[in-house]
Amino acid sequence: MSAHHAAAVDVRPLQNPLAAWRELEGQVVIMSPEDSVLHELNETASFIWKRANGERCIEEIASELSAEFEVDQATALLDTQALLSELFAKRLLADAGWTRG
Amino acid sequence: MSHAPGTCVLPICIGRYALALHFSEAALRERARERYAAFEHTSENGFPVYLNRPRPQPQARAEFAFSMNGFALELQSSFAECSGVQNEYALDSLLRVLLSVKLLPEPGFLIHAATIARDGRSHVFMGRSGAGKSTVARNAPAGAALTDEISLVRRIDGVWHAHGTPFWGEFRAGNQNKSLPLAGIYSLVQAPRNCARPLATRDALRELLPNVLFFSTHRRHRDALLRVTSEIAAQVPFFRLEFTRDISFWEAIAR
Repeated sequence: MSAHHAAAVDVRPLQNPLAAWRELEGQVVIMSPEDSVLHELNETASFIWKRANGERCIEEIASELSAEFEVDQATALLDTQALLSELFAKRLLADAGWTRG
Repeated sequence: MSHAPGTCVLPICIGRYALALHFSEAALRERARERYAAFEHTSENGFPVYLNRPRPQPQARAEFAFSMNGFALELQSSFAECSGVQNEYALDSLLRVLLSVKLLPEPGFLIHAATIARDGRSHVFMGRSGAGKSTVARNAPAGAALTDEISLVRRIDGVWHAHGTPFWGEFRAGNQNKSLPLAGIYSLVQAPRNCARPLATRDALRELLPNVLFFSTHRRHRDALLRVTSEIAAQVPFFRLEFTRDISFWEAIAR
């Protein structure tokens, strides 16, 4: 997955089905499927992760982020794209999730 | 209990998890009996583990399968089938893999750690090879080291316990079949001075996970592992123990 693909706002990200995760003290922790390394997300990243269900596109997730955390849409979109690209690079998102919607 | 023709059984119990090892070869059973002498059990009603038996009929699809160096484990809901087990060392490896899955719902797990008994409670010192587990065990008072390499941690009646196991490292005088309530889990870091720093839940979980023995790729097993380790990280005191590789670290723990 390249950053170019991650930038597409109509991509519908999907959590890697092999990645175990749970909320711990209000924030998401994810165990890598390959090496059991723990990835810890902050509050906004947790919000985005929980919406990466293959149904919402990046633009929709960013809109929800904007409303929830009272940030402007452009900033929310950049933050969402950046986080999802990072998660994909760490193999925490499924390839299929990056099929353009 | 009736046995399949030509088999002999060795009942063992590790961390209060009972197994009935069914051997096709008496010689291997004797070597295993010697290896697991401290863990021999009185009842043959433990979870059945069949070793190197001919397959009379096709097996159902295994819940979990693992293979390494020519030996293999297939786990069904009511028994486990092991093949290619040529010696007690291969058996040892397969038992670790088997327990890593079967303990999860108890809940429990195996961990790369030395366990030391002190004042009626257990202290678990975790770390990969070279971290200092054997040093901790070697410097413990006589009879206090339950294991120097692989510990078994399990919650029983709401209380987390650490158990000795027969899975030894360098310090072979340990491996005691004892269970004690957990006082704390320590992540070993060699340092020029001794200091025990408390870890918050997420920090504890981050330190713990790489030390847990885990071989499954199944999502349900990963979910269970994350749940169990998250629970213990929240319920048991965890510390990063900077230590000087001698017995003086106990003073830092006492503080």
